[in-house]
Amino acid sequence: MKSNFRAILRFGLPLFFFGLLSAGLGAQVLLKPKGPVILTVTGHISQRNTDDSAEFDVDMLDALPVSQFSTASPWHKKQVAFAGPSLKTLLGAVGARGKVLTMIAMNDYEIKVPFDDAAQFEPVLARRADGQELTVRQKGPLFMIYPFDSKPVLKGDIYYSRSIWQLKRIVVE
Amino acid sequence: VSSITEPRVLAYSLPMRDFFSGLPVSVRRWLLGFATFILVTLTGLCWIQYKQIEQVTRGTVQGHDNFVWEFYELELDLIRYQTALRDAISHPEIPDGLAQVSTSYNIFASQVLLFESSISRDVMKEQSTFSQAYAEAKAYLQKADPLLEKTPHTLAVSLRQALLQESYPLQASIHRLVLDAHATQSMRSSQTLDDIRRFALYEGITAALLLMLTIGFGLLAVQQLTLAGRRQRELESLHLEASHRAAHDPLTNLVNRFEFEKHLSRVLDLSRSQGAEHAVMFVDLDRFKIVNDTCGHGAGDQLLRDVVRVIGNCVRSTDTFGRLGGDEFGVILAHCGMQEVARVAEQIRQAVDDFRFEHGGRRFHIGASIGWVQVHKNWPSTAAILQAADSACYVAKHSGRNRVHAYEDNDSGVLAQKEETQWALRVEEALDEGRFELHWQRIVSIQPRHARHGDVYGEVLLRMIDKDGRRVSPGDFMPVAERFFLASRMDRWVLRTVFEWMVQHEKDLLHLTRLSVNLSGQSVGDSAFRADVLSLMDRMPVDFRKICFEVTETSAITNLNESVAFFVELRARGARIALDDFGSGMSSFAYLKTLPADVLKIDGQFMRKLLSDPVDRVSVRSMAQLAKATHMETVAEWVETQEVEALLRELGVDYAQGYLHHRPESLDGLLTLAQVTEPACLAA
Repeated sequence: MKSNFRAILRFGLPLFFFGLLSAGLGAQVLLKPKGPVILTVTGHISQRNTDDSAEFDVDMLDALPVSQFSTASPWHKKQVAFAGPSLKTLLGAVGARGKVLTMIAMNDYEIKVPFDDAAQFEPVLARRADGQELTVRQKGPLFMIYPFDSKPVLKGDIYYSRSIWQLKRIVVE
Repeated sequence: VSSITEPRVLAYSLPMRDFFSGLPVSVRRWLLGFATFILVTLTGLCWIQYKQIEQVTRGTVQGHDNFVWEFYELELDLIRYQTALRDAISHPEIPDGLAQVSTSYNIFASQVLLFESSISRDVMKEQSTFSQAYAEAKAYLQKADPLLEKTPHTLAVSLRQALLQESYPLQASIHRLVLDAHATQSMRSSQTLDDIRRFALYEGITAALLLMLTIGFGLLAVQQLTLAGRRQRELESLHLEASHRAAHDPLTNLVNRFEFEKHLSRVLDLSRSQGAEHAVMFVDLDRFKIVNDTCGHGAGDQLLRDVVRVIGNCVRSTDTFGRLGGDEFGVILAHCGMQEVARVAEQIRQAVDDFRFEHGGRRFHIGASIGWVQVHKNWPSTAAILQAADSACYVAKHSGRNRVHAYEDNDSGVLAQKEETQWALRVEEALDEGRFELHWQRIVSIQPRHARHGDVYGEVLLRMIDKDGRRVSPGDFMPVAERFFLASRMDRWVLRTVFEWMVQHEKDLLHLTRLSVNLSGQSVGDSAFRADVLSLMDRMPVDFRKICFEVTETSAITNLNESVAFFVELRARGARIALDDFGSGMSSFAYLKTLPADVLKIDGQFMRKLLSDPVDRVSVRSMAQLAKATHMETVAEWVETQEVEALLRELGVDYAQGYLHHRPESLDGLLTLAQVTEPACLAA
């Protein structure tokens, strides 16, 4: 995968208009990405913008409804406010149906996540932490994070390991 | 406060100490040993459990961190960055090259920074190579960050090469880190294996200890069970013994009256439910008392045992054979027809009749009076059956002993016995209500040498007043009173009344020389009665020289030793003794030598035909002579004619008593007689 953050920033503002437009046109229509693709969703999805996948650039992701919560995590010393589209929202946008999500990071690390986690725990594909856009250095551009502080069951190795960072690809099965 | 609490502490601790010190030494030692064993085993178990918990905790912590994988990933990320860098050096014309380099560099950097937050100080200390590699990585990031954190537009090839060159030693360090972490992990694995082995060992020891505890408790339980079993058996045998003792007569080992009645009630139930034929038999020994009194209780007991053996040979083993009283036995013959019962009863009678008891060279002939009754469903209760059997036995006894009587409804013998019982009730009622009256009959001297003016000699006679006011003479109620053991009560009443009467009329009785009072044989044989009479006499201010006790010769001889002692006591108080109805029994004259008597009363039977029968005349004469020889006075009873009196005078009899001189009248008549001082006899 290739990503160019400067390009994202450069094209971000003009594309924002298109994002609003696409949101206004409705979730049924998935636009083509204008900038570098940072997330690809494949598998059992009904909405695609290539032959076999749904590709998202930064603007398309930012156009989705934003979820936000604050939580502590094993990787941060204090509580951090994470913001971004929730996994549920994203899966809804691509019309995903399945049982398991295979999530793959930029360094090809991959992890299986139950499809139901999206509705049950509403993890967020964080784009920002405390308002600052996440860089690759800071586990960006997409860092899936569960609201650990909201439920005791989440504070454990299972959900820490499912919190994948530098996410670039989701396979819906 | 201490003065209050101290005794309480003592009071509580003492019973426990007493309990422990009260146990045998071996048991105490055993208990202490067992308690120590339990304590040690439980302590061992606790220690093992603690060790296990420790082990599990350590195992969990170790399993938690998995640094080998993370270090490996770090190396991979570094190699990816190096590859991207090498591509950018060899193909600088590819437009995306620098972006690739920057991205892979940032991924590597983020991985390095990750350790900052996630690696604990313990790991840092343990993994010596880690701190060195980490420091090298930080140093490299410091140099590369200005160039690569943000995608550069251009980057000189020399700089690219320098970055690549400097990354090699870092890669070596990280590789060493991976190897070290791997080695550490293998070591830990073997440690974990050791732990598991130790864990298994602890488990084994725990199981062994538990097994020991179980065996210990098991042994204890077995011991307790054995003990409990032994106690149970002991209790059972005790219970058996106690119930046997409660149901049996210790002398003969036959069932006792209580058990006999229980068996009878079972048999009666059988009759009611099945209508079968059963019978109950009462066996009363004749003349048992003679053996018991003359040879002692030991001989009496032996006789009972012998008789039980004799009777036992006649009854079936299924029959219930019980001892109901002193010399009274009962047999329940279940499922036995009337003919068979009669045969068995006769067999028993014959066997006892044939039996001779030998003691001290003497042979005694015992008889059995047997009464039996059929048990059928119409009997209202066992008590009624027992009473019927008793009645039948009574009839057998009173119709001459040594015989069998079968009870039948409307049995004439039993009816007579019932009548007697009625009589007994009447007598008892009269006693309770004091419905008795004292009469007297004068006894007059017929020999001129005795006659003194104004002397009065008489016999007190008892009359019972029936409920309807009729007088009943002693002949009607005395036999019943004797049979139902009421005679002593009557005698007491008579004595007390006579004595009180004499005290009351002391001044009017100056003319009275002698007043006779009858004592029944039963009273003479009753030691309590004898003692009571003597103490009564000692209390009453009566001139006992005026009292004469009349005792039949039969009753005096029956209890010869007691009678003699009693008579001596009575005479010591001034009283005289008369032998009543003399000549009616079969006693020999020889007894007269041993009996301390003063008066001989010749039985009235001799007066009946005295004028015509020479034998009677000879008898009376010899009795009179015998009396004279033993310094006794003689009184003839039932004297009704002048001729008889004349003959008696000639035969040497001293006094006469009878209708000729005086018809019995109320005792108070004796008082008025004082005025009429002239005795009638002197006129003759």
